[in-house]
This record gives sequence, structure tokens and C-alpha cells, in this order.
Amino acid sequence: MGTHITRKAVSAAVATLSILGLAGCGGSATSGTASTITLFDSKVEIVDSLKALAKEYKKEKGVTVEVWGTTGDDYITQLKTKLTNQTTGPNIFMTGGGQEGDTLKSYMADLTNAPFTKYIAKNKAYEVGGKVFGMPAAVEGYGLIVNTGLVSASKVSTQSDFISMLKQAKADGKYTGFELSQESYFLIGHMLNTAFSMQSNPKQFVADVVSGKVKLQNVKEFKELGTIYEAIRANTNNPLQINYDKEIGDLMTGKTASVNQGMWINTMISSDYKDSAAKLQMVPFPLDGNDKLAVGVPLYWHVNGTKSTAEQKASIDFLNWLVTSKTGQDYIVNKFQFIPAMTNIKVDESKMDVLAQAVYKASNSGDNIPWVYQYWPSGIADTYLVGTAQSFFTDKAMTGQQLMTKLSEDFVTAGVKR
Amino acid sequence: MKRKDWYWNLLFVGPTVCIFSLVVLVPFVMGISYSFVSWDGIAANAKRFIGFTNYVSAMSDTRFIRSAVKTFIFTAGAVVLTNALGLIVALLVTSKMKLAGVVRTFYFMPYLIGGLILGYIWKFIFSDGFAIIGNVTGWKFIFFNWLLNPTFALFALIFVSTWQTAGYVMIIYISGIQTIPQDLIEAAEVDGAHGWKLFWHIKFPLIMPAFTISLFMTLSNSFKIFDTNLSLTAGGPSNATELFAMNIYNEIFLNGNYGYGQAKAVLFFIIVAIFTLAQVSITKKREVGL
Amino acid sequence: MSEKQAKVWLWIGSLLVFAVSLIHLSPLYLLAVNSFKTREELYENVLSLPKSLSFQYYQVAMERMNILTAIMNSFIITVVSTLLIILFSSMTAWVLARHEDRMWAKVIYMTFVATMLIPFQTLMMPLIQFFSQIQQTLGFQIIDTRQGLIFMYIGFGSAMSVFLYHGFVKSIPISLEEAGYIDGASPWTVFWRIVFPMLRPITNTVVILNVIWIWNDYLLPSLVLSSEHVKTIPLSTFSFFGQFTIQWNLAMAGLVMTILPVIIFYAVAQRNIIRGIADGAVK
Repeated sequence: MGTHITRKAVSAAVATLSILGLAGCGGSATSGTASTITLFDSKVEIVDSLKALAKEYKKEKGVTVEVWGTTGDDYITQLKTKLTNQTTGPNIFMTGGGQEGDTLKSYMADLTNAPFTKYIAKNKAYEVGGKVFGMPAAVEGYGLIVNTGLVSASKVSTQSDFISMLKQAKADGKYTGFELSQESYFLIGHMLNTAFSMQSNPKQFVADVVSGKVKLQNVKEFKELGTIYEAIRANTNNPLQINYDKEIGDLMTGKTASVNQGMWINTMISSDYKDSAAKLQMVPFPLDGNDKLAVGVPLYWHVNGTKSTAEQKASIDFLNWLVTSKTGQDYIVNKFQFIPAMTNIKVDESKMDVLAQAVYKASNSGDNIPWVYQYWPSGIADTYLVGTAQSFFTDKAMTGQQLMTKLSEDFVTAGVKR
Repeated sequence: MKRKDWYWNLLFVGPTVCIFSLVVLVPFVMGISYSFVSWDGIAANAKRFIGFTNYVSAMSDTRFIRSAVKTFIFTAGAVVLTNALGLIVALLVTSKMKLAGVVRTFYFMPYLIGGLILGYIWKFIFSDGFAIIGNVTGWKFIFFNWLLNPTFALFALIFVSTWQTAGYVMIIYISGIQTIPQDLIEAAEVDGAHGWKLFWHIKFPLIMPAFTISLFMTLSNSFKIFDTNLSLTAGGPSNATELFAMNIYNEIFLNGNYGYGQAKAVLFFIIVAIFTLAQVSITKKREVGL
Repeated sequence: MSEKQAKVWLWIGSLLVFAVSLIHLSPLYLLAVNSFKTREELYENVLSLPKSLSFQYYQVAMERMNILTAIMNSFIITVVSTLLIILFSSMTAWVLARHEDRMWAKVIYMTFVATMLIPFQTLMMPLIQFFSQIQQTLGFQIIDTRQGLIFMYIGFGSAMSVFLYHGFVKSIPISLEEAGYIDGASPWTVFWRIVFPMLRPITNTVVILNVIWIWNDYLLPSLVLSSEHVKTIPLSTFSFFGQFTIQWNLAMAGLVMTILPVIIFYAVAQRNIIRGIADGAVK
């Protein structure tokens, strides 16, 4: 063991460090000119198609769009961190609008005069103070998805029918009438949203609940929701034992007759459950006489306004190409399997699956209830609501009324801005 | 060592301290300064100076206090079990047993996998897996879904943490055992010391450095646990296993209360620091040098 | 007890320990087995053996993960970071340990140790803010580069590594160093020729712990790296974790490919440990 070996190792390490250092200094910038822009995608399901689309864009227009992907629930953390500085932020990013969008508004460029803004469907843009800051990426909807092979849609058109169906299915024992799943939005989020959206002025209603002025347990739709939850707990499988994969699997294999889900399940059923015998139909969730599907915009495209003017223009050009060119439109409808929220994109209804068709009709006719949870205090579903809902299913003595009371308190706690 | 040689000391210590300061100390101090403002963490949005308000709120935040208590309980359990298991296996594989190399590798392998994935695998085992075993054996008082019970979910977390880190601790103890000169052991055995006596009076004091290190590392890692917490229980059921790092993460990134989250972090850090630094100085005094 | 009886007991005891260690490993069985199943098979039964041993998921995972680039990035980052951590931390720990009675050494050491208690979640945002600001004002690339990430790993890894080395410097008799000084050697020579070789067992430990931590790390790279060409393996593997659903078969295939290099590394590094034990015995 001589100085030779250790001296060599040390000089090798120092050499490596300096080479890397030099390489760093002269290295290529991530987005120095408007010939390259970066796009931070939040939806894992479309990232491969987005990359393919970027290749096509490069062929047609010569501009490189670098697609950054990530895991599903990490996106907003990474986005907030990357946006801290002009040099690290992406040129194009996505948010869910509402509270999430408002927090990051300072980074968004004003798109009111962008070429594609006139094509945005009515009320679907992300607007603040009358100006447009986000372009809707897609329209999505959810409701009660029923396997009509097991239970016909007419049997679940009213709340009392629905509850009877649950009891009947339990008594028969061949399948369960309905299933919830343990993830925050599937356990409580979407169901709660239905009740919120049935109020006359949902946005104001949320503010009142947060301030404590209105208590959920005193509002009719929520009382009924409490009753439904009691029926679900008494007559179906414990949702805390079920995850999304299992829930959809049970639906497609006939173990459950219905689920409260959206048209997004189509990506899973078209690839993994092609041979299933289930006949699906989406109907409004029968909460206290509700007869509409819940339709909203889950994601918006935004342009980073802190970047250079050249890059902002290149970003707007790309988004414009996305929704106006033949290639872009084809990708949106067929590869991403989105229902577009732009009036200039024609969709061949007959080519859609039955769930998407139902949502498309509801969206176009305007005969739908909105999504309200974007106005809830940020993060509330995951940090407060899901915990409370879990306790409802672990503590069998809790009544539906008590559930609503606790949820109402959660809104007040979560709403405290520190 | 020539004590007046500032040049040498600077050369040996300087680079490390520089890089460390830039990467750890500067962000930490920045974080502390942010605990005195009301802010949502977004650089472009306003910060509002509110002095010690965040600290006062934190001390009356029952959910935070519960999470801190749970973290202490978890840490106590995990540290004891991990060190016990790691030490026992380390002693076994450095003894004359056969297949020592294979056993050592097997015990170490769980550590090679990140906490996030492990959590998902064990989540399946504790929920569906136990249900299946419970049905087959009929021993439903042990084999039920642990993750739906607040107490057992915490046990599950301790169990998984021990399973994963026992191998890592074993490595540290093996290093410690290796520094004991073989002739010392043989001399002691000639003098009549065997088994437990040999261990407690000879081996253990000599591996005290390894014990200090291992104790401190398991303590610090347990206080900070996040990945496994997230994937195994996600803080449930009903926030019963929301440990400290998760509480902070949720506060900062989901609730958007950055200053408040930082204040909680500083508070917890102070408490934990006092506790563990006391431990380090106590055990360091008992170390035996050669 | 005759020698033969003792040998039999030794074998029985060893086999028992071996069996327990197999059980210890059983959850990994789930990992391996599920990387070969289709989605439907996974839904039906997670415990069973797969119906067919097709490597199709490995193929799909490899393509989507951009596996060669990812492995190369992980390799460069891990190896360079670890080498530099060893270099800097061992030197620092030795000086701090040999000057234990001085205030400056105590303060520096305690600072290193104290920071091991800070959860990364509280440092995340300021870290990126600070370095992106440096990047903007001084003009050279840190974020989204391998060297920037390596720099950060050195920073984060120093505390633990200094701590580990510090504890073991005690076991080096100071008389050997003093002999070196009497012979006229400089501290640099004394350290690298006398002290460092004797730290071999703990260097092994430091290498193993750092390599595994850095190779498997997800959080820090996810914030620092964005572009495809610098992504590490954990980032690529986690792309199979969607918002609602995890593509288990692909994720498991990806994971198996992630830990294989580490297993091989550990198998090789293990031999050094055995050599270390032998050396110790001879001493």
C-alpha cells in the first residue's frame, strides 16, 4: 500500500471533478433560445404520446419541445419547486385550476389575446379578473357507472331505489351493489363534490362552509349524503380494503354492479379488460334527486410568463398548433383520449366509448353539474377529508350526520390560513 | 500532530465544510427565517412577517402534538428492535457458523430497496396478505388487516422499518467487531471468559463506537421517516400514523402553509436535537480507545 | 461434547439461522413474482406464481425507462459522489477527531451531527431556491445537471460520513501517527499512508451506505433533474406510478433492474469485508 495508489486515486477524483466542472460551464443551456421549449406534463397516462407529438412538431415546425414527465401525485410539489426561478421553471405547465391555479398565478402569462383563446368552449377557460390564464386541456365527467348486465339503469334512478338495490344485492349475495375505493377522491371527494355542486351558488357556498357560517349537517343534500353513506357501509364491502385497481377489476368481472367513477377508467378497461362481459352505462349519481352528470375541466395548460418573450411566443405557438393542426387534434382525441374543451375540434361521437359519449353529451348540452372541489381549501381532500371518511368506516357507531358534522369542521380547520 | 498547522487543518476540513454549508446550512437558516412569516411557499407570492405566531400556533396544534408523540413512540420501538436484531445477526455472522456469508447477504438485501417500494409491498402483506393467512389458519387475532387499526398500524410501521434497516445496522456492528484484535479475544477465552461474560465485559465495550454510531443513526433516521410512512399507511387510518415528517410535508406542500410548516420543523428539531446530542455525549464517554 | 457432536450442532444452528433469513427475505418473492404477471393475473392473485415467464414487461419497462441512459446517469452520479465523499469526509473526520479538545473542532463536529436530524422536507424548497438563484446570478449550470446533483450529494453525505469516520479514528493508535511525524512526514502523508489504510473496514461501510442511498434516492433528483438525458433510475422507475394506479408489473420489472446493479456491487464489496476480517485476525 503505497502513496502511489492513494495519490493516483486522489488525482483521478480531482481530475474527474474538474472535467465535469468544465463540461458544466460550457454545457448546453436547457432553454436559452426559442428553438427549444420545455413542457412539464402532469398526466402520466399521456406522457408517451406527448413525446411522440413533440417529435411530430419538430418535423413540422423545427422547434424542439422537451417533455418532462413525473409520477402522478408528486407533480405539484415538483412544479412549485421548479417554478421558484426563471432558469429552472418549465415553459408550459399544467394545473387543476381553482385554488391550485390561484397560488401559481404569478407565473402564468396572460393568454387573453392568444390565437386559440377564441376556440375555448364557454365557461371552460381558467380566468382571473376577466383575463384568461389557462387553456382547458380536456373535459372529464363522472357519475354512477352501472353494469347494466347485472342491474338496469332504471333501478338506480332515485336515491331510495339505489338504497333498495344495495340491500337487495346484499341479500342475494351474488354480487355487491356498489363499491367505493380507499383513495381520497374515490372514498369521499367525488361524492362530496356532487352534494356541493347541487347548491345554487357553489363557490359562495364553499366560502360559507369554510368560514363556519354554514354547517354541512344542516343542509339537505348533505343529510341525504350521510344516509347514503350509512347504506353503503351497511350493505357493501369495506372500501378501506379496496383500491382503484381492485374496484375497476370488480366492476369488469361482475363482482360489483356499480361504482362512482369517471370516463377516465376507459384507459384501464380498454387495455386490460377487453374480454369482459360487463355492459357499462354512466348515469347521474342519484343523490337526493340529482339527475345530472358532474362535468368539469381537470387540467389547464399554462404558459410561464417569467420566461423570455421569445420563449413565451414559442410556447403559445405550440399550444395553438396542438389545438388547431390536424396532427394535434388527432393526438388529443385519439391518443390522449381526451374530450376536447375547444369548439374547433370535431369529435366523431360514434368512435367514442359509451362512457365518454355520455360525458360529451352532458358537456355540450350544458346539462351537467359543475366540479366544485377546485374551490376547496388546497390539499383538504388528502390531509383532512380522507382521514375523517376513514374513521366513518372503522367506527361503525358513527352516524351519517356525525360524518357530515366532522367534515364541516374539517373545512373550517383547513381554511385557516397561516 | 503539529497544532500550529492551520494550513493543514484548513486543507483537510475546509472543502467539506464549504460544500456542507452551502448545501445544508444555508437552506436550513433560510428555512428558519421563513418560519417567522405567513407564506404559501411560492417565490412570486407575498410573505407577511408575523413574528412568533407560527410557533405559538404549533404548540397548541393537537394534530401536530399527536404526530410528534407518535413519532417518539415509533422511534423508541424501531431503534430498540433494529439494534437488537442487527447486533444479534452481526454476532452470529462473525462467529464460526456456517453459511455466514449467505445469511449476511440475505439480511442485508431489504436495505437495497428504497423505502417507498417496500412500503407498497408490505402494505399488501398487512392488508390482503394477512386476510388470506387469517382465513387459512383461522388465527384471526393476529392475522387481520393491521393497517385499519391505529395501534397495529404503528406496529406495522415499526416492523417494516426494523425489517429494512436491521441489515444496515448489522454492517455497522460487523465493522465494529472486526476492529477487535483476535488475540485479545483468545487471551480472554484462555482466562476463562465465555459466552455472555465474554460478550458483556470484553466485546461490547470494544464495539461501543459502533454502538454510538448505530444508535445515533437509527435514532435520526427514525425521527425523519417519510417514504415508508407514506407508502405503507399514508398516515392512516384517520391520521393515526401521520408521523412528524409527513405532518410537515402535508403542511407545506398540500395545505400551502409554508411558514407554519417550517416553524413546526424548527420546534421538533430543537427537541430531537437536545435528546439525541445528549445520547451521543453519554455513549461517547463510555467508548474505549486502544 | 465430542468434536463431532459440536460440529453437528453448529450445522443445525447455522441452518436454523439460514431458514430465518430466508423468511426475512420472503417479501422480495412478491417483488420478483409480480414482475411477470399481466394486469388481470395481478388482480386475481398477487401471491401465486406467474402463469408464464415472459420477459415482455421487462422489455416494455426498459424502453420506457430509457434504461441505458438512466443506468449510466445513476452510475456516474453515485460513483463520483461516493468517491468524493470518502475523500473529503475521511480527511475532515481525522482532523476533527485528533483535535477533539479544541472548541472549533467540537463546534464543527456537533454541527455535522446535529444536521443529521433535519428532515429533508424542510430543506427542499430553500435548497432549490438558493441554487437556482446562484445559477441565475453567476451564470453556470447547477440545476438539471449531474455535477450540480453530485455537489449536493457531497453536501448531504458529509454529515453521516464524517460521523462514521470520526467514531472509528479512535481505534487507530495515535502512536503510529506520531512515529510518522518523527520520521519527518507531513500530515498529508501520515493520513494517506498510515491512517487511511487502517480505516478500511469503516470505509467499506461508508461506501456501501452512501452508494445505496444515492443510487436509490428519489426525492432530491426529482427536484433537481428535469431533462430526460440526465435522469437517474429511480426517477424512471417511478414513472410507472400514476396518480390513481400503479402499473405493478412494469414497476416491479423496473425495480428489479434497479436493484440488480446494487446487489452485484454489494456482492463484490462483501469480499472486501471478508478480507478485512482476515486481516484483523492476523493482526
